[in-house]
Amino acid sequence: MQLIIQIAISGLLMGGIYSMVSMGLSLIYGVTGIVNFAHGEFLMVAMFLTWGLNSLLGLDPYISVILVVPLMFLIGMLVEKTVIEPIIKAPHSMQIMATAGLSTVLANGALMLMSANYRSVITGYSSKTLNMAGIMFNVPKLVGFFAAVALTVLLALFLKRTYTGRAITATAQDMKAAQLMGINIKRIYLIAFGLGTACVGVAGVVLMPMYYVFPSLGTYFCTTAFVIVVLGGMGNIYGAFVGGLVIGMVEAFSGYLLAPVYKEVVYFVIFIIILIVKPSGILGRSGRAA
Amino acid sequence: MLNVKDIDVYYGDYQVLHGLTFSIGKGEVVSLVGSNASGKTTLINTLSGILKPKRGEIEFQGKRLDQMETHQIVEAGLIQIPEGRLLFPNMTVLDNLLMGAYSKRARAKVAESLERVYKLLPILEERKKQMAGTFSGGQQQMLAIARGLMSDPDLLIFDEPSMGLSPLLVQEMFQMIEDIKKEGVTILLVEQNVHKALSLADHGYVLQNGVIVMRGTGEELLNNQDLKKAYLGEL
Repeated sequence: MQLIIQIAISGLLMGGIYSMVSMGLSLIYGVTGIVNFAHGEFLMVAMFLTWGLNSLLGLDPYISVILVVPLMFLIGMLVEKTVIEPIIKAPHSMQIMATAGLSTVLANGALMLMSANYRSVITGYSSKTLNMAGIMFNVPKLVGFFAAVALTVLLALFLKRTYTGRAITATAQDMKAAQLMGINIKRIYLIAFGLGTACVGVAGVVLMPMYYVFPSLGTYFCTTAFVIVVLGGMGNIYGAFVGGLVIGMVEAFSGYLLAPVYKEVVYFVIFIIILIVKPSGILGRSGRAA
Repeated sequence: MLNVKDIDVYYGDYQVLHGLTFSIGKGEVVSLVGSNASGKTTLINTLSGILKPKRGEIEFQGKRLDQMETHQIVEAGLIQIPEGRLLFPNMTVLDNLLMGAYSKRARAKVAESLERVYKLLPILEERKKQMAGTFSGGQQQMLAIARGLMSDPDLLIFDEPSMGLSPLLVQEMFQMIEDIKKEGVTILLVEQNVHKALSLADHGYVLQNGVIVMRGTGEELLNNQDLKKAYLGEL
């Protein structure tokens, strides 16, 4: 029993990280309709930033959040302005080429600049664990999980309580109506893309003390994030949060019951089942109707 | 207040509006009638800046609208209540109303505007926490109108407001438009319900295949024999 709880907890904590990556992806899709294939590479960039700030300035990864997140927000807006805005009304095939192309550019750019080496940030708390009633909590994972919860709450409050947040929600629900309310949707796309990218920034920061960064890291997280976004309902950030936790648990249990190498097989089977049984995802879609 | 001069509007290569010219005076109710696919919705989407004219000018309260973005046009006080309502279904009634007051001009008066629409439609206050998507068709139309009023309109454009409503509700809705007129809001009414629309109007225009084929006061058009035959049937 103890073991089952331990596996569930580990899965849940890792799931929190997945949630943060996926929420950004879901937010961007929900508002702009763009499926961002470069999302995983944004995570890679955020982790390299965290690593860089640590190795150059000696900044603790958790402290670097105050720099990394705003930087990622700006990078997201820059990408939106230069890559996304020109193709926002283009056919899906063209949009896919643009974001997939961006993903290749970022991954190979990183390879060129940083080489293919794995890099990590070792901190005093990297391998610390808390023992509560015999259940082990890995400290960085615990921090990651609480960061995910906090991020979800903050994002929800922002979307519900502020004028800009409500304008983002409104744009996701009906773009034409949003325009007719006087919402500058170009600006909303810019902000939504920046926010989605900033979410990955938080994920990158909390991942850095427990994981390593390398140029092709994006691919792995991106596929996982896509499974989660579909699982939770495309465009639904709460769905992405729940979906992330589910996939984290699935991964932990399949690793234990089968073998760690099979975990991807298991969640892709789940992915396919969801696409067949409930393509709108467990929480349905709250974003764009299409 | 609104002067449209000789505009041509295209969907891709296909020309929908041909050299349209008309105007609306302050405080007037102007009705634009015409059958399906005559170009009515195209025209008002052009006024709102969702489509851009290839030729011609649109001037509103001394400002050129034809090159402005939609949100700037809203800021200038030209507000459209779109066909099919286009509410935000997963937002509450109150949030829908607040989105109506998103523009800077409207946000300054949001408390006052809320009071005004609650007075006009008390049901909206009772149900302000309800999701807009759970409203019936008639309630949704009322909410769409209220949301338009929240935008502090100088010119309020209604696109097919009677669509999908029961005769009783249509009656109620036209009454509401009349009340809004009394408050001094200028109104452009686009309707398939020709009789109702023209009886309410100071001026009317008949649109056919993207061309204005008839114009006159509401009463003149109502009594026009050709129009009677074409749209009203034998009354």
